[in-house]
Amino acid sequence: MRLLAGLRDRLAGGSHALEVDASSVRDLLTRLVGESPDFRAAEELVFESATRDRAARDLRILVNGRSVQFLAGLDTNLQSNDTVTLHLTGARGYPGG
Amino acid sequence: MTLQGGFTGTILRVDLTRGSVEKEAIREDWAREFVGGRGIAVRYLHEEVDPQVDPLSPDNKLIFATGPLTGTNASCGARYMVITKGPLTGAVTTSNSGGRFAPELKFAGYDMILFEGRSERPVYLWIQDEIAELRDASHLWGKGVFETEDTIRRESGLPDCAVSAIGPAGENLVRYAAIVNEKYRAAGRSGVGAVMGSKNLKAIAVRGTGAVRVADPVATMRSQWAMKHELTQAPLTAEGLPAYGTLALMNVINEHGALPTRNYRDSQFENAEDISGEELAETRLAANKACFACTIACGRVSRISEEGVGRYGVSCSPRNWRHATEGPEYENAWSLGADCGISDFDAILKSNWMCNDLGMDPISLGATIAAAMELYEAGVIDESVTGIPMPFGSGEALLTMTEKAAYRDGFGDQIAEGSKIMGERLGHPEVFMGVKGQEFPAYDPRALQGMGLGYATSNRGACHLRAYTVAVEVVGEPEPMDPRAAEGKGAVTKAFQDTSTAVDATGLCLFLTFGTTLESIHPILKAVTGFDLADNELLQAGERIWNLERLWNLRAGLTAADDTLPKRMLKDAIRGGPAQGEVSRLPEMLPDYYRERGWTEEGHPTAEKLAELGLG
Repeated sequence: MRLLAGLRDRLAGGSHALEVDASSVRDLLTRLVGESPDFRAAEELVFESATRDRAARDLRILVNGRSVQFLAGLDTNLQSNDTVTLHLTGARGYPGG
Repeated sequence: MTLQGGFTGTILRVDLTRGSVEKEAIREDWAREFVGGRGIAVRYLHEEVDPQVDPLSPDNKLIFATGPLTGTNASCGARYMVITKGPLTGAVTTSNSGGRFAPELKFAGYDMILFEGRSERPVYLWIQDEIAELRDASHLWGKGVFETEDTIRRESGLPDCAVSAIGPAGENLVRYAAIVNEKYRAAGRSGVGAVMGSKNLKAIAVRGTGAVRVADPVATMRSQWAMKHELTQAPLTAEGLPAYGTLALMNVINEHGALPTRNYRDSQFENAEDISGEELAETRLAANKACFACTIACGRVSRISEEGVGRYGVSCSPRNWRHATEGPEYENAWSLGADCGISDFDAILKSNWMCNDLGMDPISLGATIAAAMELYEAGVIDESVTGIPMPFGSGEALLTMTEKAAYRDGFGDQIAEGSKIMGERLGHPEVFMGVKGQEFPAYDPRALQGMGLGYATSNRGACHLRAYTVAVEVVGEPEPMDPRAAEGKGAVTKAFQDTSTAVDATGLCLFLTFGTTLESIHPILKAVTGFDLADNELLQAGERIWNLERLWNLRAGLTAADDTLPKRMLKDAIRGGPAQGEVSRLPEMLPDYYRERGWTEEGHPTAEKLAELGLG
């Protein structure tokens, strides 16, 4: 699992990469939140709400470079050695014109 | 109609052949239709310059244009646009810069400067409020941008003046020479600096003590505060860009498999992390920096590493920065880095610093060096031609060729022509990665289909700032679109082109749109200018300007055949990474785009479209 920019400090104690056992993207994010020292902050960063049925608006999740928006969302299954990348966007409006 | 605010109402017309500087009223009848900045200047270009003109001849004109919101307290109202016919492209050129040069020009009382002709000897234009005169620049010719600016400040006795200048690259007519103000802000692309050099115009220095009049001060304050608030609420403009700058994109684009590497032969760079925004923030960032009135502050001040100082130290300007320099932007770190296979961050910083002082566009420079590296590794050229080893990954080759290009020294004379002409001369035109003579920026159009359409149809040649479909294809705003899909990209490309053109015409920075929309800019423009604008009038002005640029290009001899991509993008599939197997689907997208534009199948605006836009 690869974390970019501010997510490194906020979710992984500054690490660039983590090894995580997970069967789906939802499972992976749940484990990530569960292992975070600041559980609430991590949950707000990753999930839209406490029901955890949607990823946070500004979080982008890639599985092997492909956004899960074009796969099965949080239900996207993971295989051994898949690379999952998390990055934040945070744009509003009509970015870049 | 009398202009109520936003515009000073006065332009300077400088005839360099006669040595005259005259003030004249701006064409008020064009101000509302074309807004200002890029818009009104393109209207002047359309009126006054033969599109067939040789870009480096005295008959070409060079226009510096502010917008009605430049110099106001609207966030990011710092921009000016340089408009001319570009020597790199043969097309209309619209090259934008920030800093504080443009507000200073407004404070002195001018919306625009229009240069024509050619001076017999080097000169610079000095502006101090109502004083506007040409001064001898013989002692500045041959100097870098930094020394030129420092000398003019010292000699003028007004150290607060703002200076926009060319370096040796502009003087030597390097086809992608830039115009640089405040040492690190540049109208970078398409060779506007070469046009300035061809006119023997070294610099413009300006000090203004006035202010920008606004039609409705209360509404101006309310509307611009509302927009500032929006910028504080969008995480990207409030936190992301201040913390990492545009260089945050290096890792993001690499993870998406869209980071062009080694002259677009690969689409992921194995060492992207080493030249990323994260790496810069952790090891080299000294401060961030803002342009006039900016509330984002995406600019970087970066240190050469202690280990790198011996090899790549910079003579810092200002001196108290020691071994620090501004930048790099994502595009520059990519072109001087990944595209050349280089992961030595100090070498990239040094080359970027040299580009500012020598006055060159790092995108086209890096891309041209990358094309030469490809030919070197293929054995087409060797050291008997280049003078030095030029394998991919060589920081030494990058720095040597950065200097040689600016002075057209040895093989640098080929690099100075850009990769299209260089490739053709060496019998390998296929190494040119660009559109209309201008090199691509930092997004592989096979992995991000919309960017390919945007590059192909950009009026000024390949450009990321004219239709940043990365927004929908990577960022996912305002709605996510599949980067691999062709469907719908015609409409979104048109929408982005018209919107960004409208923003450019106001004098605001395009980065505002990472946190706000035209709907928020609209009331500021109304309040400042007093124009009773209809809801979609600003967006329609963007479309009008885009179509006028297109008409000018068609008259210059460009055709739909120029709305294309290199064979490598259309035929050669990406070899690895997330987008493996992809090619550009431009042939599917282009007809759709022309329909969305209301153009014929040959890419000509229809009579109906021109009538709708008031251009018939």
